[in-house]
Amino acid sequence: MVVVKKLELDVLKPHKPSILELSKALSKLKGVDNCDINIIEIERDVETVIVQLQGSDINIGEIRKIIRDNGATIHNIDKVTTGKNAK
Amino acid sequence: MPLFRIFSDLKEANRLTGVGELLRRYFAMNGFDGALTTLGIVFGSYLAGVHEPKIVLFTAMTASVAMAVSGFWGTYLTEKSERMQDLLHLESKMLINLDNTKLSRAADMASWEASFVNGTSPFLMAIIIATPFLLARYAFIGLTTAYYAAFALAITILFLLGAFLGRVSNQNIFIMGAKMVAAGAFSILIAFLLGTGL
Repeated sequence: MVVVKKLELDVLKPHKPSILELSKALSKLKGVDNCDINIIEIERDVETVIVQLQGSDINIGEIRKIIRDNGATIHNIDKVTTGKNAK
Repeated sequence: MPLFRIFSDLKEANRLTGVGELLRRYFAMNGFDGALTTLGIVFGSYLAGVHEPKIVLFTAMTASVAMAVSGFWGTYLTEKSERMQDLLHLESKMLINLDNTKLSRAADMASWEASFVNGTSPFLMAIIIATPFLLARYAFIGLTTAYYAAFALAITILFLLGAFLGRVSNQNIFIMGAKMVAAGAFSILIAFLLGTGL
């Protein structure tokens, strides 16, 4: 079965919740091992961040849900790495 | 566990909206209102020579209920509209709908918290100051003692509110307490002058 192992997302988010909070929320998801967030642009009310996720089986639907719940939105999927599940 | 859930929701609302600072302000501001209003009622009754504890008690209680309802209602509607406006502004920047997100839930929770503090703080202060009249009504203490006890409670509450603000702002708690008590003394003086003039 083919699964998503790495994902890079271009995300627009408000300043709060912070990237720390968002990162922790994403890391809690099943199938996600690492979450790395970089701020690339800060505006008065919002910021653009790059979210890099790594894991054994990343569920994009769940990622979307968490990002949405944190008041943020995915602008683009910049990079994806898929592979066969070891099981 | 629902209690734990409520507690974590409160913490999150505080983190996202910074409502904690506002609650502190509301608590001191409206507690001050409640204490001063009740002090006014008690002092007015004293000057008018009200000899029935029930009258002072009921007047203070109805005033405290009115302050609680006004504080709760007014704050909820005001806070809710202010926070809705902030959310709408953010939505226009994000170009998405922020309903059912952490932000909208935190905004709602913050409005409830603010209205709760705004409603209960004057109510509590008023009830505390009016307590001696409850004791006097059931003849545990005399009416004159009740008046003096109410004045002492009002002054203590005013001092504690000032000290609380002094502690928050890292200023001298005694000076801040004295400033609050001065407001009480000022209102008593004006009431006294008005009372003797009439």
